[in-house]
Amino acid sequence: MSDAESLEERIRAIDPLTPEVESDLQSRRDYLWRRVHTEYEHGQVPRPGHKLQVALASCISAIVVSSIVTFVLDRADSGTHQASSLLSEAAKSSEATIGLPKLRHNQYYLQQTDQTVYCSFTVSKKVDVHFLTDDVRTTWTRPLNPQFVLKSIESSAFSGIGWASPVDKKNWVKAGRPYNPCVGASQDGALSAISTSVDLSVPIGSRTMSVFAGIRRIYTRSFVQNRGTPLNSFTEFNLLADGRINPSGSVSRFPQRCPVMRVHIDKWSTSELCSVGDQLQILEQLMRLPDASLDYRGLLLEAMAHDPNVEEIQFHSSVLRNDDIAFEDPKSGMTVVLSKKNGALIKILFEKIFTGSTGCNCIANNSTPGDISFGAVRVVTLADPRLK
Amino acid sequence: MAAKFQNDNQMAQPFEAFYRENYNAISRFVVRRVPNELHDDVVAETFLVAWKKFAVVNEPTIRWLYKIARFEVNHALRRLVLQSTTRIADRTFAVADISNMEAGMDVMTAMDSLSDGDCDIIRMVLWDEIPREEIAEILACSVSTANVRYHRAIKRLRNILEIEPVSAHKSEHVPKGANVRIRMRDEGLS
Repeated sequence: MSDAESLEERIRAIDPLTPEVESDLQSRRDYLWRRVHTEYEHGQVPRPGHKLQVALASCISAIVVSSIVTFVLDRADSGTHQASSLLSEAAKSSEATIGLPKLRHNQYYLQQTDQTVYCSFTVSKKVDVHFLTDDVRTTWTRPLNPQFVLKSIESSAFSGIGWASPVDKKNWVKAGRPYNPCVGASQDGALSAISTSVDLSVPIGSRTMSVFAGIRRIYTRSFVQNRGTPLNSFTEFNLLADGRINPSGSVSRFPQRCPVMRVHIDKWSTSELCSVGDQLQILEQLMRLPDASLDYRGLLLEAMAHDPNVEEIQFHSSVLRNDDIAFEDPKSGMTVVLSKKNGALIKILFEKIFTGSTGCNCIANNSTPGDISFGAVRVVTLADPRLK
Repeated sequence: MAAKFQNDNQMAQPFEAFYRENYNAISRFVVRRVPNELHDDVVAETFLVAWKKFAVVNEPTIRWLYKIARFEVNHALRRLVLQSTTRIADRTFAVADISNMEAGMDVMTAMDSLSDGDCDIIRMVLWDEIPREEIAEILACSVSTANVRYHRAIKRLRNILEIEPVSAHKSEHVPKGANVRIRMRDEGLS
């Protein structure tokens, strides 16, 4: 093989079009045709008076929204005001710290997270199943060039991963292996959700994440994830409210039905915009992505700052140190713990997740407590990452 | 609207057939060039533009679609550059085999330092496998110019990677231009 042929082979080898991507593209053909058709028709047939209607509707909405906001803010106590401003400040400082040191050759950003989930849900009448996970994840991140970023996840220190007991698994299998909200789109209900070639993302436009086999010892689990890059936490917040951020992290171009994942099997929110509660649910799901803290902490804090119910709490737990500060959304029970010193996100605690709508018989106790602890982001140098 | 179609309804059916015939090629072309989350937008824009011009184009072909797609890709990437921030989670592409990516990191980095034009022609030849005649039409140049552009791009890439040309090529004592032509013929390029 000549050097030219060899080089051509090497270029072909990095072709990003893989069978998985190709099959995903195929599956989007009809959807995209409908979209092209709709956009063409809208472009071709201008609706008379449409702009005026939109302008009027916008004015009325703005007046109504501002009245509601004023009313809510007036009613809010000073504690809530304080919580909101502290959270906003933390969101801003979170943006400022996003500019991490530039990496040199063989350097990676490294962060460890420890995620614990105690989850139970109903699979059939009066039968609950219980699922436990405790997972320490180490994430190596390295932008390869402006287009590629390598994210490698090593899951370790598993304990109690999977079904709480064989009976739980048996009941789940007997019920026809229904969707397991504790592990997203897993087919077997266990942590194999992050094993080779299984999509870890929730099934909403689930074109968004690919999972790969590990590379030797360092990368037992690796993936390259595509994700939108919203501009800042406030812009992200608006995208979130418009239903444009999916729980898988992908960003929709247009406002859509709020994509929050409900407990109903195959059921999603039908509202056009995301309520505050919806937003926090999406964030809970987002924050469970292994590398989410860097990407979404600003958004999380901004969303909490916009929730008038969020308040600073005295958290009676050993996890709260003297230099920590905790904020809770009493409705969802979600609590974030920040460093008082620098506003860094230290921990998220989930009292409730997947709060089913009325009449849902999918989840009995309606509760998925758990927590995620975030380690500091460090820059590490590896002589040869594959030989670690 | 041109005489080809009396109204939009008449055009919808042939355009849908045209879409279905060419979706795969355009979709692949786009996904190789833009981050995944922009794929749908760029493909939709490409076909939207194509539909608007469908009635007035003499012969709608895949080459014509590639031209539109190239424009839309460049437009999307320009927007992306304007919006880019220093966040770690920069735009990314799906890559199936991480070991390929690790091994090809130097090639990827080298390609990144090439000009857009060089990158584009390399991708069209090696990834999209578009016939050289079609590439020439897309780039609005002659086939021989397209060939020369491709080989110059590869040469620049090789220089960046500092790959020494194999001695066999030197020992042939063939004039440079002739060598290019012979190699092109060998590769079925001319």
